[in-house]
Amino acid sequence: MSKPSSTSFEKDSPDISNHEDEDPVVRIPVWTGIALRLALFFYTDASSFFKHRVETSTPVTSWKRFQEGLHLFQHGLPPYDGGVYHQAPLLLAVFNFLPPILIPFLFVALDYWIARGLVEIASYKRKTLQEEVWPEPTLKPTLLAPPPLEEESDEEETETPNQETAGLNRDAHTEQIKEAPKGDTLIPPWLVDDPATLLPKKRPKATKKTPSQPQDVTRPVDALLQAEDIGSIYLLNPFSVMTCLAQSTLLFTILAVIHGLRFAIRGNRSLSMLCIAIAAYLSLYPAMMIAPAVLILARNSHVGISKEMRTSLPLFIGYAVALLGLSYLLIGSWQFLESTYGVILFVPDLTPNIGLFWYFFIEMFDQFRTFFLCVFQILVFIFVVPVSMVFKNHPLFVAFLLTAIMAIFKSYPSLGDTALYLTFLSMNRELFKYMRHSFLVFSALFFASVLGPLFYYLWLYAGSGNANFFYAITLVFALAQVILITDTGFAMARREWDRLNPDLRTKRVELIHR
Amino acid sequence: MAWTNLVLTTILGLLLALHAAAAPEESYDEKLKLTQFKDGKVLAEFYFTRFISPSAVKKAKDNHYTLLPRSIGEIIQSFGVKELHLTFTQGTWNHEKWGYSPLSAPGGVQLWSWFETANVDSQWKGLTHALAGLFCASLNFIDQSATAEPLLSFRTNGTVTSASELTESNSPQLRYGSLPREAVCTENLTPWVKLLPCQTKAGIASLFNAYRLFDGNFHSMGTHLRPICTDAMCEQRGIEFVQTLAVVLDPMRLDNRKDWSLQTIFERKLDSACPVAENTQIVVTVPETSGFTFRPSPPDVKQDGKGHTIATYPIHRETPKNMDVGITWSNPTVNHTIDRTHSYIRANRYLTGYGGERGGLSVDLYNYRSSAIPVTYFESIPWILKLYLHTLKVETSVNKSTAVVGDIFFQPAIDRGRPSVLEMQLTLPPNSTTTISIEFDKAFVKYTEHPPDANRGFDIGAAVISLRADEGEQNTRIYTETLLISLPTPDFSMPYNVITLTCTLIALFFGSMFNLLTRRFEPLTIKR
Repeated sequence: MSKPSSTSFEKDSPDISNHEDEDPVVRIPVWTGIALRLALFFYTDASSFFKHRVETSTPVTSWKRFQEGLHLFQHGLPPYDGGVYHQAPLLLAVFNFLPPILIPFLFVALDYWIARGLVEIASYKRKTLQEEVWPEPTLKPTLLAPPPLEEESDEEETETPNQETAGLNRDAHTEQIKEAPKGDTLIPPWLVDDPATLLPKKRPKATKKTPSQPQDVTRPVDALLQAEDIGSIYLLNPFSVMTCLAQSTLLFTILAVIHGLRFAIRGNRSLSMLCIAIAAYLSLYPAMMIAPAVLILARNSHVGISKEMRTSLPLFIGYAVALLGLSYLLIGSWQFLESTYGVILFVPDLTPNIGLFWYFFIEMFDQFRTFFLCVFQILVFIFVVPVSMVFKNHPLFVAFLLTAIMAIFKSYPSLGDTALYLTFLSMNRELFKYMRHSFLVFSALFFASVLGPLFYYLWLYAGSGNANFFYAITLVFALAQVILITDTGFAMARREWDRLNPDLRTKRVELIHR
Repeated sequence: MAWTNLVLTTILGLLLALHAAAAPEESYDEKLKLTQFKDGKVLAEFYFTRFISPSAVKKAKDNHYTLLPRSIGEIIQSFGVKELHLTFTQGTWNHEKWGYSPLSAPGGVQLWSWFETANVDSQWKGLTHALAGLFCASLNFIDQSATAEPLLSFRTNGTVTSASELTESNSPQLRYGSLPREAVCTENLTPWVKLLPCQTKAGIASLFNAYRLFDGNFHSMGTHLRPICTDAMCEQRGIEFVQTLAVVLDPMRLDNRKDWSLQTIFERKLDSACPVAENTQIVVTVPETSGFTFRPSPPDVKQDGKGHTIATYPIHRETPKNMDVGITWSNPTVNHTIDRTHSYIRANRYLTGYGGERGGLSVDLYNYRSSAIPVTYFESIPWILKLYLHTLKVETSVNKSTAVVGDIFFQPAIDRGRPSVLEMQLTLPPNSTTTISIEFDKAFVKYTEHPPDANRGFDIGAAVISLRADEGEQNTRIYTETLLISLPTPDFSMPYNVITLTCTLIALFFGSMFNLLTRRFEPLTIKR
């Protein structure tokens, strides 16, 4: 019986220490990702291969272009007086004194730090999930029960205190199923195929002795995420492996974004704003990440968001100005502004990537170029405020949405951006069962990832395809991501509605304008 | 009153004689150099040289022109041009077989000019547009994105700077541009011929037969303008205006014989000298000392000590009409061997790599002499190729690579703004092959930036190798091949489709997000 098992799971869910032993998933430690990277760096040519791939190296993150900038810088030539180098000046200072042999290690270390930061963020997420308040329904919540599991063995093996009620409810449930088309109640799918209900038999007996909470059958059961898993998910994500091997300087941006959130979680406002400022300084778009950081800070320090904003924003601006000032001192002119942020905003370099800009602006009529540039760039930034307002209780979900929007609609996206938001997505495991299109989305992402390089090859090397092939794939990739974002957004909204409306959890709902 | 007439005439005659004796204000010479190579090909070099004295230059400023064409004079004045070299070329000069000639030029159009004005860039733009109109060529496509400023190559041929000028702030500035793609044809020849004082009515220009001129292995017509000092301190400067035309014709192709004459190669004969010309001469050079006869026998034959026989025919007004100059060989064998003593430096430029994304550019520089030779390598690459300076490699076949490279000047390209310029001082080791290689990424350009025949590709202008003038001559320049690069093309029929599809996606995203952020869940009430 599923219901009893789910309730037993529910009981011990706040008990973190026990849970670690219970989860049957084999844990993959973080260092496997590190070992994989080092092996690929030193025993294969993967690094030089990915350095040249448009999927991982964009004009604003490419290692080859960075080398060119560094070469010019080291030989006393102005690196920004040309059309090749578009990366931030302070990166030059970082690599100026670094021996070349250490560079692969540095990039692996960057990924490791990113993973550590993600683990800390994930444990915060885990904490907030546990602290989440689910109001009790005022009505008796036995109107409906989850359907029985298919396996009969479950029923026999699991012995729970609530077996009686479960048995009773089972009959009610079968009636319910018959009535469902007529009535206004239904069994929500996230209660039907709740993954937690599939895992009851391996549960040790000890957990049953933990003090039980008041039972609420209408509350979905969340498999608690393991913080370490998030680090492993990031490090073993092929997209992030490729980005690391390509030595994309995007990793610095990701590291800064992650640490901006990490320090916000620790309540360190100054360091958090410094990291977000660095991320914004490196690639402009992550300035948006100030929103989730401020939400987290406000939550931690129990002050109003607007008050938190008033203290954080000046810090952010101060740090950003200081970074730009340092760059000016390093380069000796303001030329870098045009060559870095100008390129990100005005997109003069139309090298293909997985984003939407390149083909659009290759084909765009000259007289409409400015208009569409404005539209595209505004589209990226326009959702910061509304998303932060709607999901202000879920700052990490805001972080996910913003990183995802950036990854799709920034001017030079790469797979590293995708890897980042997919990791944030994996932290929101409680939403998966609310999602409606995950099969479509992940199939499309998979097929686009496979067909993208093939079609690119057909276009540029074999000559048997044209630019439309690769464009179509980038379009599919973007479409899948758009559906993923909206689907996840819907899932979060639905879950919030369920949480805050205990009495209506089993009712049919529809989206309406207020 | 007969005596007064006589006196007046005498005075007038005296005045004219005095005037003429004082200094020739302007002079005009014509020269045709015909050189036969060992492989039988004949190079015809036409020189139309005008010297404009400082006083005539001053008159020209008051719109008083005699020999200097007014169109050229106005260009000099309005754009502050000090020196100007413009060549229209078709074909590639074969340095290996034909040696070095001052008239060798890279394929297409090459223009370089020294300016003496403050705002050089706008003057350069004006100059290219004016010359485009004058020569009926697309010179106006030499915009900022195709203009280079060489630092080491293209030193002035004329005496541009006096010592006092070097200290001035507006020291002369150089601009260089080339259009490797320009197809040179009669529509460029006609306006060029119009600048000649006798046009094609008389003088050596009467040999111009467009069918023959454009039928050769190499064709290049040039317009060169340079200042000439007329006094020791270089306070006074005149202008030398030279129009040149070089054409390599192949008599072997016509009847498989080395024999040739003006009649066979141009299908024209020389009628008369141009009356304006002070000197007109035809010089015939043969790379042999015996085995041939000049027709007609020349008044002046000499050997130059390098195995060449040079015959000179002065042309006067008295020269009989229908004059034909040529050579008859008693030894009809053709020698295709390459003489390295005259062409001791050779350069080959080629592309490496494959695919539409990136590639490499390599130049092989051969030095066949047993002494090290200093050269200057100049390359101006359009911005569509993004060069990576850190991949620049210079390797020599002999193991002296450290001493090969002297100064390197590199200017990275700016997209749609300016080309990459690479200039290097090299010392080529004796009997060696030096390879310069650099990698590039191909740019993905807007669909409007592709030429109408997009899949043909983009031309990359020739690289220039300047040999230092160590033998008391002008700088010798060697030009490499022009290259053809195919850039990845978009689908040119797609603009509307792309705009529609991408905007649909964006609308989908915006609509869904807008929905998500503005709407709320409400329980559904079903009315029964």
